Amino acid sequence: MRPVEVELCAGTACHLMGSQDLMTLVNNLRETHGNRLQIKLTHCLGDCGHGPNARINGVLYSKLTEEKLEAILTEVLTQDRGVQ
Amino acid sequence: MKLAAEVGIAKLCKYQEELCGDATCIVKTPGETTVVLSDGLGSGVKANILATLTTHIASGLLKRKVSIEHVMSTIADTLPICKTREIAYSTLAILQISNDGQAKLFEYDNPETILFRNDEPLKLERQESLINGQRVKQTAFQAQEGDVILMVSDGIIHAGIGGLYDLGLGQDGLLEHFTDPCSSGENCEQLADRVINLATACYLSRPGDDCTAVAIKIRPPQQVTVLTGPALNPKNDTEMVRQLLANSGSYVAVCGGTTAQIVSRVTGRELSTSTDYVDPRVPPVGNIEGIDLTTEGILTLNLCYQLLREAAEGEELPRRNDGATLLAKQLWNAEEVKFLVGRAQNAAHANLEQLVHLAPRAYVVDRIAKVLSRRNIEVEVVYY
Repeated sequence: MRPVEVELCAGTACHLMGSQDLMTLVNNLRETHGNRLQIKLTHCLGDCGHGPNARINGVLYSKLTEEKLEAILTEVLTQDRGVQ
Repeated sequence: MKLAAEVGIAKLCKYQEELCGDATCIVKTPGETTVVLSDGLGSGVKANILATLTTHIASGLLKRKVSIEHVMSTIADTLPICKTREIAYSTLAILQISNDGQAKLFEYDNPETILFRNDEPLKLERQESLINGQRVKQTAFQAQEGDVILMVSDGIIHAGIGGLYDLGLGQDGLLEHFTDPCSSGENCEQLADRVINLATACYLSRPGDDCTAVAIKIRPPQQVTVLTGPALNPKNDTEMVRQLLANSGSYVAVCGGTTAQIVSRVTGRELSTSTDYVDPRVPPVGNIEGIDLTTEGILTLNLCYQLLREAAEGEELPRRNDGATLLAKQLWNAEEVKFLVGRAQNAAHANLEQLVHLAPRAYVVDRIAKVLSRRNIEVEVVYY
């Protein structure tokens, strides 16, 4: 199973909109999923007006909350489990 | 050759006291750096008040360009003497270093300052005079690049008294354990910390007196170059980055996510970001090979400005490794600072700046430049 690449934006707007809380969530999820989650921070993903933003396996997601991010990651991890 | 004095200070309060009875201040005037150390009689609040008054009087006179000799004689002449113990209510040591390396040292009831050259302590010949019945020692010497000068309060010299050492650590003990200060690669804060850690160990973590260590390193003048913000015209990106890297001896900082991406693109070097939120007020630092410090932009600059304002009012810069504190320390200890400021605006930031009362980039850089200029640091701001 390939790891899920999670890039969280820690740029100015996303930081003010709560990207640190998303980082805490992803770190907690890593305790369950281990190396399946590859987590990186970036300084700007470009969609500053609609943060906080994250890019998961190359797909940009905006206006994230902790609940939304957890739901997206759960779905991606579940889909990946089914990939041969 | 022009020289500069970088200063690091570390303190330890007497066990169960909240305030340190020692005080320090650093005065930078054009061409000179002066360090003042005072130890108030006793410990706690009273000692702190006595020491703080002494250093404030000294720094006030020095800022008015009163000569160090007059400062010393004025304070020694006016310091009250404890009738019971027949000693002054505070000690005083003043070290003044010019940018040509000429150094003058005055000591009034304070442990002798030590000069290290090539890691070895150098003997300084002192002359004694009497002021107001008190012995004042003075000496002059020529400081050289690479020298380390150590000033301590007597809490360090007496460390361990009655416990690990019958008569305390003493200067001999300090020299035995404080080795390789010139070649260790440590900065001034780390050197001062090392002395305090030694004292803490001697006191078995229950200091019997307030302790202060001041480490001064003599080095060439330090230039800091800061690039922040994309250029109004993207065609100027390459020129901005070229200016950033033009001076090979300069400490180079990049402040801003988009700015960092520009530097990464122009230099062809990868940009990575730490996941460590040292201070929740600012995003984590990044890393680009060849750039000494990479941070976020506007939040970091605003916090950096706040820290520099507090430092200008006498507060010590905090011991943290977030981007704003790291930047503030470099700027505060520099002799020359160059800001390269891109004027392009991020529209998404405009509303946020108003919501959380952040100053816009060009304004906060201007404010920082003013604080640094008042500290006699040469500042240049170039806009793109």
